[in-house]
Amino acid sequence: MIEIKNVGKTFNSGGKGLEALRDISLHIKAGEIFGIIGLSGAGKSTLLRAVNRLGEPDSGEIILGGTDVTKLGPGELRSLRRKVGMIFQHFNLLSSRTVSGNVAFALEVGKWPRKDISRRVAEMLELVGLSDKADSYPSQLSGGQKQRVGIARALANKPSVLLSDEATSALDPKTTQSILALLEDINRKMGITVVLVTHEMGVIRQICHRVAVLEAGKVAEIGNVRDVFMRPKSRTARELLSHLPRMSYDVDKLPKEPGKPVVTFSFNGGTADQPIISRAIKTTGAEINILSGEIDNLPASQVGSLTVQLAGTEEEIAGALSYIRSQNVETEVIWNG
Amino acid sequence: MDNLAELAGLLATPTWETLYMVFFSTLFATLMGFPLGIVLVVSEKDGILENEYLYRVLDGIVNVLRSFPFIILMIVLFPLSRFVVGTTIGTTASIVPLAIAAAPFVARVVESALKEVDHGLVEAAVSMGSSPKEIIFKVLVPEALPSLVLGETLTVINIIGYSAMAGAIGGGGLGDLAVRYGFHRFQTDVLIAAVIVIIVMVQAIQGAGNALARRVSH
Repeated sequence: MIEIKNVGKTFNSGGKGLEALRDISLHIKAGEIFGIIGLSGAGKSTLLRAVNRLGEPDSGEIILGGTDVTKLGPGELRSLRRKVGMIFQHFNLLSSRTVSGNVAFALEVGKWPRKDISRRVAEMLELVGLSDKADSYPSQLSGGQKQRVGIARALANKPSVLLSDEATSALDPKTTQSILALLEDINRKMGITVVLVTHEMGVIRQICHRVAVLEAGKVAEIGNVRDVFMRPKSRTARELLSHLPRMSYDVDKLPKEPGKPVVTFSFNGGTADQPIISRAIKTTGAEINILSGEIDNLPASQVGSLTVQLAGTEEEIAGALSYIRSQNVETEVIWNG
Repeated sequence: MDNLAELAGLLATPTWETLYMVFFSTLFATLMGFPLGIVLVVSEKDGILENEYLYRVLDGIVNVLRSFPFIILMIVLFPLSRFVVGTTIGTTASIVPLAIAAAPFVARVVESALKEVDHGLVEAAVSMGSSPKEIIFKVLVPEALPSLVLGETLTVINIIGYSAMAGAIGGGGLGDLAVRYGFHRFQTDVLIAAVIVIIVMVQAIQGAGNALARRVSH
């Protein structure tokens, strides 16, 4: 769907060149929700804005639905942009127009016949749940409502791709949840490809299928969200994950009894719903005492981790661990004395 | 002057002349300055139709015109007034220098009002596939409307001030009246009356401008 090939971009600031993107290549599949995450300055917004050429890349190709975006003339570029919706961190709504007027703006630009505009506006406001605010001005709306208008406006021209530039970063956690749920819903119902830039791992976790982690203008890691969350390879991914409210065990507070090791089990999608623990207890006779745990719901699967204390004879404990490992669960011994 | 009716009779024609001069000068200044302001905004660095050369030339012209003291500009423009109106004396002739003096002012007012529009809005419009024309007339101008109304108010008031000066060299109007009676004939009451009429005019225009600006901002 979107093929980014060897894209590079350098900003000139005060005589010094700042390499924002260095030879980035990645493929975004049709219909997926693709996340781009990184610390500030990693180049994630620059990459996103290269897709609709809000920011011109210096080199490389961006193939969108068969055409190389970087080679389009002004007129062709405008028609392409009508098929690529975009939402922004600060919503960017016209204060001089009502909610309806803001959505109508996209349709006017998209050259819709005047008679069809009001019907389409009503349809879009219905989709985002703002039908009752049609005649309000943006200054009368909350942040979440403003972003809903932004989404309605971005989708009005029936785009095949929606670009989201930190769309939830200015919202409180609860509103963020509802906006993400709306985006996920739209992705599922309309099959629209969503490319989402964020600096929050929580956003990636909630709705993305795949994620690319950017580090200093390069792709540090790319993969299924589950894999990146389970086994983050890049420093950035690990650092960003550390800010999430993960299952946290405090090593000092763990029970430390001789012969009773403390172990963390990491479950991935295929095993999180299996009764592995109870089977391990039944088949080996070891005792397993659960200390803490968490299950994350990812769009495609569940991942979880569990910290437990094992008790029993050495044989029983070793047997329980090897059974659990045989079930594709990763184990990490945290304390053993 | 002891007769109030006589004073009113004396003021009527110059008041009318001032209104006439101010109205048409504002109209022509806006017709020239508004497009110029828009071109300045879109052609400047990082504008939607960036053109450094054009910007520098227009920017220079605006600065030069604004540097002229009005009274000098008026004399310099006598030949133009004669060409356009057929004479250099009178209210209609004064409209030419008044409009030309105010046009670069209007251009700057428009430029600064449009520059205040959040760049994010322009970006959003670009992302939707808007043409430069759509960005100017559907985003920049409507979004800047409250500032534009206040700027236009400022222009009208400035032109009232200039028109009094135009009066001093044969332009007619309230300024002319004040100079002739108040200064040359020591009839202070006529001078005061003329000034009061000007004050009332300025107050009314500022009040109307503020009210209109409030109405168009959301």
